[in-house]
Amino acid sequence: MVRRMLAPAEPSSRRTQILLGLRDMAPVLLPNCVFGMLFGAIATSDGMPFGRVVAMSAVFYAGASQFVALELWGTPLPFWTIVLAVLAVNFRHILYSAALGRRTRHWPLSGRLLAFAGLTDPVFALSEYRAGPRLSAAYYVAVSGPLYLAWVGATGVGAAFGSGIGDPGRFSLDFVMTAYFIFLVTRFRSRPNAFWVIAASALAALPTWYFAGAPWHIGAGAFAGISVAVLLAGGTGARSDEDEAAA
Amino acid sequence: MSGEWQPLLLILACGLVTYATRIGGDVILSRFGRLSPRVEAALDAVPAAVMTTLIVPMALATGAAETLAAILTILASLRFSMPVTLIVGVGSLFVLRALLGS
Repeated sequence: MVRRMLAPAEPSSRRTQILLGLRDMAPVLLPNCVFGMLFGAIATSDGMPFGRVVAMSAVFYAGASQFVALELWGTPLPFWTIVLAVLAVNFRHILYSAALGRRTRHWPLSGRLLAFAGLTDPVFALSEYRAGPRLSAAYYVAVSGPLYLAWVGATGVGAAFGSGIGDPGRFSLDFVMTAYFIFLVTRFRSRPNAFWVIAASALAALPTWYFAGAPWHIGAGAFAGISVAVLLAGGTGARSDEDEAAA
Repeated sequence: MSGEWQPLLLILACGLVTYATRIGGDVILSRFGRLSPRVEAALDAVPAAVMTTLIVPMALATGAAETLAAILTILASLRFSMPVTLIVGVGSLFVLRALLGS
């Protein structure tokens, strides 16, 4: 009796998490494939061999910084310039793994080291949105796995046949990721001081975008938003300690 | 020979740098046991603070159609599910771009 009650719980909840992950990830597949094909097509037309183009997506797997690397690519190869540019564009991921690491302490270390290789913007935002104190590994794999395979596959298709779609702005496809992130940001409105975090981030990011450009607006906005959260938490920090002592 | 291997080395280096950023935060923080309330507050703010910056260039620095569509998307996201929000957002931008001729 006890065994019957305990045994099926895990697989069925795992199944639920996988379906939830696939459903949450699905809207990103289309823009993911379009930009993957675009990357493959542009890299190939720049004269890169097919294998190298696909290797870039498979090994490197970071959309925006791949385009930056492509732009800087030339002869002679500016090796360290490209490496530093990639570091600057991808620096935000350090914050992602710091935040999400707290929710994955129950995973084995090897699983975390493998899984975080696929920690892209949508994967991080969805994981933070759906995870409680613990992030379901099944959900994470369902979100990150298909996006990785689609990105590498789309790069290959674009490299072999061209992008076929041309300008992603034509059907307002370039707005899909913006709308997607808007939806996710408003999901975080229940977190402490969310309004002020979002406002500070936007207020710092906008002028930085104008005067310094990408990727510096990300660092400026993140720093401003997080600083506001820490400052505003200063007053309530003592209270939360009391709550914990009482609990 | 070095010329032939350089692109592959560069791809590998970019992959390593990217991977380092993706595990770096966890590697650093997992060395500390219990986090202070201030660090917890900082980490809780990461998704909203960073995702907002990914929205800003398109929503606030591209054009009137994009800004209006972003506002409609925010309103839709407060009431509706993700698919409906996306349809409202992309659909309204498509119409606004046609109307405003941008």
